[in-house]
Amino acid sequence: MDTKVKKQRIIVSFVSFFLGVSFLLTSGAALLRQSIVAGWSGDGWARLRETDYQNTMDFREYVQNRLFIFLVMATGGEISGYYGPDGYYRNTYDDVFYGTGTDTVTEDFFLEAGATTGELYETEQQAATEASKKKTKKENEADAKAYHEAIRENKNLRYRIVCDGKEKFSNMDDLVWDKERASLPDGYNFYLFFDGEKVTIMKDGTEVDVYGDGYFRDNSQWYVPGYQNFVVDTDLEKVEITILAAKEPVYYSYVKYGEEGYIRTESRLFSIAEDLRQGRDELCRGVTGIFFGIVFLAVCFFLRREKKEADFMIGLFTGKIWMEAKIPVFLFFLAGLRRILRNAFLMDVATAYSFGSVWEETAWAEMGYSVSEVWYTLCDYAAEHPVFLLACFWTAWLVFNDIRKNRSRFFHGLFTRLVQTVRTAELKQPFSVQAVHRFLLIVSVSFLFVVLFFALCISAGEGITNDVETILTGLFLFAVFLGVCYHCLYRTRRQAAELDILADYLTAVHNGDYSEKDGLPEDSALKPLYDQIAGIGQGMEKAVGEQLRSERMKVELVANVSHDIRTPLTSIISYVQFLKQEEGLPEHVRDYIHILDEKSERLNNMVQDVFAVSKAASGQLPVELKELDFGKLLRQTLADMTEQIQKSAVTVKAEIPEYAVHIVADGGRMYRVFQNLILNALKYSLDGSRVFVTLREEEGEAVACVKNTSRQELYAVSGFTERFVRGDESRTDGGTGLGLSIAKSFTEACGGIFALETNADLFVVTVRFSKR
Amino acid sequence: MKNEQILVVDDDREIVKALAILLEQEGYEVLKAYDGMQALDLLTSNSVRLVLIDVMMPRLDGLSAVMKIRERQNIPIIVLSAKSEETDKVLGLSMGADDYVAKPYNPRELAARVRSHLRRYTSLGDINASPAAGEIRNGRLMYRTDERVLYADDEPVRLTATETKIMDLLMRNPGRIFPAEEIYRRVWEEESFAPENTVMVHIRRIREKIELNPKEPEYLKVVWGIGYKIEKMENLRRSGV
Repeated sequence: MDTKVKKQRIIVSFVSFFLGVSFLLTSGAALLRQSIVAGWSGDGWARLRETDYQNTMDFREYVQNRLFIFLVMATGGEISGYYGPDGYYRNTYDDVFYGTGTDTVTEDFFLEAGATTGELYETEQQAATEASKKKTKKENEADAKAYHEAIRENKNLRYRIVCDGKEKFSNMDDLVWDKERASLPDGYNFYLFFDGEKVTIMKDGTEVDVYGDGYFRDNSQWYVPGYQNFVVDTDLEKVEITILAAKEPVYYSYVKYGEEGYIRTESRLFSIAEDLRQGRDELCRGVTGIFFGIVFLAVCFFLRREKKEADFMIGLFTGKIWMEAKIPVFLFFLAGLRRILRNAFLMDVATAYSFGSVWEETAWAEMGYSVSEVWYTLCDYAAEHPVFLLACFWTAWLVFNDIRKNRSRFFHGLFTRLVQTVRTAELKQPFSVQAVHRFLLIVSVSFLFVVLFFALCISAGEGITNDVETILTGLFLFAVFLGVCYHCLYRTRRQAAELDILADYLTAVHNGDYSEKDGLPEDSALKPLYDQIAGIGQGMEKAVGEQLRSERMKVELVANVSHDIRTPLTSIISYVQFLKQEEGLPEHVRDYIHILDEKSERLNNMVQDVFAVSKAASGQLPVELKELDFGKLLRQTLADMTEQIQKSAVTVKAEIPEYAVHIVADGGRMYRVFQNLILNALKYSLDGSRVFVTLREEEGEAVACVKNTSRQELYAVSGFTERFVRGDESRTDGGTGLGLSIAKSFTEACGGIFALETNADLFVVTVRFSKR
Repeated sequence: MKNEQILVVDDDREIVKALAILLEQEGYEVLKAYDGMQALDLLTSNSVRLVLIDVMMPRLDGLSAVMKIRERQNIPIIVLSAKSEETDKVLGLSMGADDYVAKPYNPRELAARVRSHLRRYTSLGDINASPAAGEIRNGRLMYRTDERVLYADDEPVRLTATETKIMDLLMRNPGRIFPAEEIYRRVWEEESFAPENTVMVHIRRIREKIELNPKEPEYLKVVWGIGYKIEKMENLRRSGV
């Protein structure tokens, strides 16, 4: 149940995303187009709020245009064209087209913009040439008449031109209109009357303020004679012109058949009204669409987690498609896009600039397109073809989603699979075989390259391929050759790098660092070897760990045993003390007690030493390292032992530098070391011989030596520092046999190096510390 | 005068007996207990002046017993243990013991410690009493600078002139480490070529006079490889009962 709900949510999230973006895109394009159009037309956005076409600038310009033409017609001037208030050239043919065919006449809406195919272009050229010649009054009269003929059937605009009280041209004869009454004929609500001096405009029965304060300014709405700063010649005084405009214009066509060409009456007023209505509709649709788009996107935002999952699932699906299938589809799409766009520009350029039918495939930039025009064309096309726009966007989205979600699997496909199969097979080969294969690959590809290159040269020489093809093919071959070379180089380099990693790892294991390293990639040929070394490392680590643990256990055992020994020893020592105090005991009993006293004391020392040495050996001896003067330490030790030295049968010669020799060690521990060493020397030296205690500096090290000549022959035994090894085996002299062992382990605990050597009867102990 | 009572606690009866003999020879009255609970019981019914206690005991171990005693009484407690490690000592002292003696103990040293603690507990002044002018106190030691006399447990120590000079130097600077050269220069007032031996001889003699166990000195210490110093002790004296 839960999963079903979740699935539904995922679907809802994606559908709302899809709808939201689609709505936004199509509506956005439409609005954008409208905004551009609005920017072009003087009214701007106000035009779109307007429901009455007669309030638009287009309408006013049209009416003014007509008025001027009618004035020209009334006074007998040349009607080919004139310059409007904005300085642009206006032609009189706004509603009239000349042509020789019937094919494109009523077919296309865009003809209103004032363009058609080649024939018209030629006609206009002719018209321009004719216009350049000065025309006679009679010709002008004829032109005016022809023009009247052409536009009279357009009943959206009624006009009457009166000159000297005599009607010259009119198309309002059929109208029943009581002029005395203020009302206009049915269907007409705009009335303009020029009385030879000024213009009166009535709209919906109310008079419009045309002149304001009487001067024409930038913000004046009507550009008609009658302003104080609009001077006209006196001819106009006898002219009267009446113009009526329809409330709701309709489309009129007037075709004269049977002549060489045709004249067509277009309905400019109708198109102005129609444009306005369409623009408004489009705006409405756009705003509604944007609203829905935002609503859907909001839904999608609330379900963004599900949306992400939907993206992922789609990515999963597209990821499964082979690259080989994706690329052609994408290319096909791109080709279609290019074709459609080209057609759009071709058509637009043709319509906007009346270019010839022979359209060369020339870039739009060369055609003089400005950026804003391109932009408009794109917006226009997108608004006109929402399906195309959506297809573009969603294809792009799919590609993007695919790349984002399938980063690693993006190139998943037959080719990749083939490459992987070959590579897996290659990796199973021994290391050496891989190297040989790589070499062979380079050789064979080089050979193939040379052969193909020659073949290409020959084919070019024979004229089978042209220059471009030859060069492209050559480059392609070279690229493939370089690619293979790079591949082989890459593989070789990678294996060399892996060897380095392996060597480093081996060194680390050798140095006792068993920690896991980054290791080699799974597909490396050296991976098994690496794993084996790792296995050895782990085994070693385990062994070392176990050894440490057993060492620790040993120390614990020694600690417990020494505690257990001490308790009875305490009693023994205590009572022996009491015995010693007893008076009146026979002499031999005193002797026994003396022996007991001595031995119990020795046992006590032994227990302490055993404990210390076992702790030191396991690295658990607490040491307090600080900087101290090695020379002073030796002098203090000797001073401390003055009594023992004087009592012994040997002399001690010290050679210790006066200046300070700084080392870092635990003074108390090192005192024990040298105390043991010197006691040892005193005990085992030949009577009358000398014990040498020296301190030297050697290459950043402080080296202390204790040398003595042994009383007994030293056997070449290496176990002096082993526990309980002593100069003689009789063990009656009070030593515990742990002296050297303690000295060695304490020195090492302090970070020094303890060395022992024998040379004939010479017994030499060196203790080294690195100098500070 | 009635003899002072000392409580000896150890689960090893022979050791208790040995300690009793030792302390009775010194003239104290000894109470015996064999575990912590017994010790606490005896403490409530007797006016014990000092406790000697073992650590590892049945029923209630020594350190717990020390804490319990400290809740009620301020008497000196000496812990006697076979555990001789530094950490054990620190633990014992931080639990409230005044002293820590490792087994096997030296009978003479132990007796001296008992004496020292008792004297400080019973006869010495209040901990809060500020030292009189010209007095330098450091643990068991007290030096009167005007008289140039050193006291250990408030008993004057007989020192030679040189020893007095050394102690004068060290007692005035407790805790500071003096190299042998400096001691020699300031005491003998002349340079020396190898002062280590000379200084060491005097140090050892002073130790014999002031330390409870001259072989393991507590106050006059050698800092190996650097010099000599008097350990700076906390003046752990408790006010009277």
